[in-house]
Amino acid sequence: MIKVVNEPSLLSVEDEAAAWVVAMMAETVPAHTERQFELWIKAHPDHAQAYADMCASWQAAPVEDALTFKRRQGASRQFISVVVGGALAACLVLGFVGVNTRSVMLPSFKPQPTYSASLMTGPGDIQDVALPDGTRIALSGNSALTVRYEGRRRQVNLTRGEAWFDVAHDESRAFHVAAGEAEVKVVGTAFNIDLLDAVTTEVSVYRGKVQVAAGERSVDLTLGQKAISQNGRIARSMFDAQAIPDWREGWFEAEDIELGRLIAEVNRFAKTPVRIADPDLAAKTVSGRFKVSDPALVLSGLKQVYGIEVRQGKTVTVLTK
Amino acid sequence: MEPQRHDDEWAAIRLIVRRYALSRTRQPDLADDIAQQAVLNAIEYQQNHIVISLHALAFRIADNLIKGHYRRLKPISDISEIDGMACARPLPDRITEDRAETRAMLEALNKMPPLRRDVFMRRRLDGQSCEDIGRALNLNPKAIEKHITRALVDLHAARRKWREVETPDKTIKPDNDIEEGWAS
Repeated sequence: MIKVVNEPSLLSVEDEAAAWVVAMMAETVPAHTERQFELWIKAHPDHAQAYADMCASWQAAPVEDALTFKRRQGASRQFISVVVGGALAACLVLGFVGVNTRSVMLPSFKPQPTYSASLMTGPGDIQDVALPDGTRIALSGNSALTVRYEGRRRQVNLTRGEAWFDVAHDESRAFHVAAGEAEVKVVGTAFNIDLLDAVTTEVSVYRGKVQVAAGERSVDLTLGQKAISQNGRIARSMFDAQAIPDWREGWFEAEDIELGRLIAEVNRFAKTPVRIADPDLAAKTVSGRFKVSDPALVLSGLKQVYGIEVRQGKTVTVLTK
Repeated sequence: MEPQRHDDEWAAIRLIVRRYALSRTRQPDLADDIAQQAVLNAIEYQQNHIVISLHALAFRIADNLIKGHYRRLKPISDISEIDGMACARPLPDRITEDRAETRAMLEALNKMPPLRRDVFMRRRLDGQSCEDIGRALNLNPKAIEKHITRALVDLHAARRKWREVETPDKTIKPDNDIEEGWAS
């Protein structure tokens, strides 16, 4: 769920419920939509009640009867307002379900507007957001960041998890991202930041050039380069920048990666958090291409390949040797 | 404590499904049965399948139960033509009431901007997807969803107003809250 802090929610619970009914009545409901729905409906008893009532109104037989009647009545008349209405409607695309796109789509022609927003996602809940200057941010599951545009500075703080940035070029306003101890400065580019823990940050560049600074040091990265900053040290390496980051498709590629790191990725998708029983196990390395968006699949794979025991509790899943 | 939490979750789902079934059927006993059955079926289902949203699952099952119930009850008498409206609802004692409600819905439809009404009709009556409607009207599917949502909010408001009730179903007493809720 995304929360935009600088504006109060424009949607009442009923509006939200109606939007959810419409979304959930679709022929196919994407898994991430269903996940968001479950988070929303469980978030407050009012949500569940409003949804039940709204859903009943959707299904209500009198509504269907009235529509059928209207159809017959209208069949004899000409219907002329569709085109005008259509043009009007195109101007009226408002925010939808918690994603308060209205404020994120503020017109960018205002002179250097101050803008701030705070985005948060639950497990398994990836959000794509457009900022007023055209910058796009995709926030991975279980992640959080804040955005602040002020004067000549565009500042983002990634406080948890992972995000992908496609920054609109604007030389007059540098774009800064702070993630843990690392600070990334760009002009216009696409890159991914993974905040692994408080002192470890991985930055991968998909277009353009960025500067990564941590403590006293800084390195410049260009297309296809990535850097891991840890405790003030920065290590640079190459990666395949042809594809978009794996996590955006729900994959995680591990090559001798610590189990702890893999499970951190899994937890961005898992509805029930996964914990590792002891540090030794967390430090054990694993390799493979994991569909982290499907935690059950990853865990059963770990069990089969590495003999890791998976104990499924109601509120937590525990991994033991 | 964990099983407890689990039970609480199912209890909450049962309650909310009951509220839904009651709003649709207006029969407290039937709503009880449907909610009970929906939760039992959902529990069984999720033991063998991966379920993302238990709520969505329970609502879906309740829908099918309600549909099945009315299918069984469908009477032979011709109630399909009331004021020239197709009507598949089977309980004769509710027809008058429903006709009044239908008139209220018709009023709400008449008040809508034509585009909103047209889009809603395509979705709800013809079952067209938002993508299809968007293609037909040259609009973004998100905009279509927005129109349908607005229409639903309008109809819901009219329906609620017509029933002239607030329905605080927070108390878990099975029947009492309902009678007052639907007396009209």
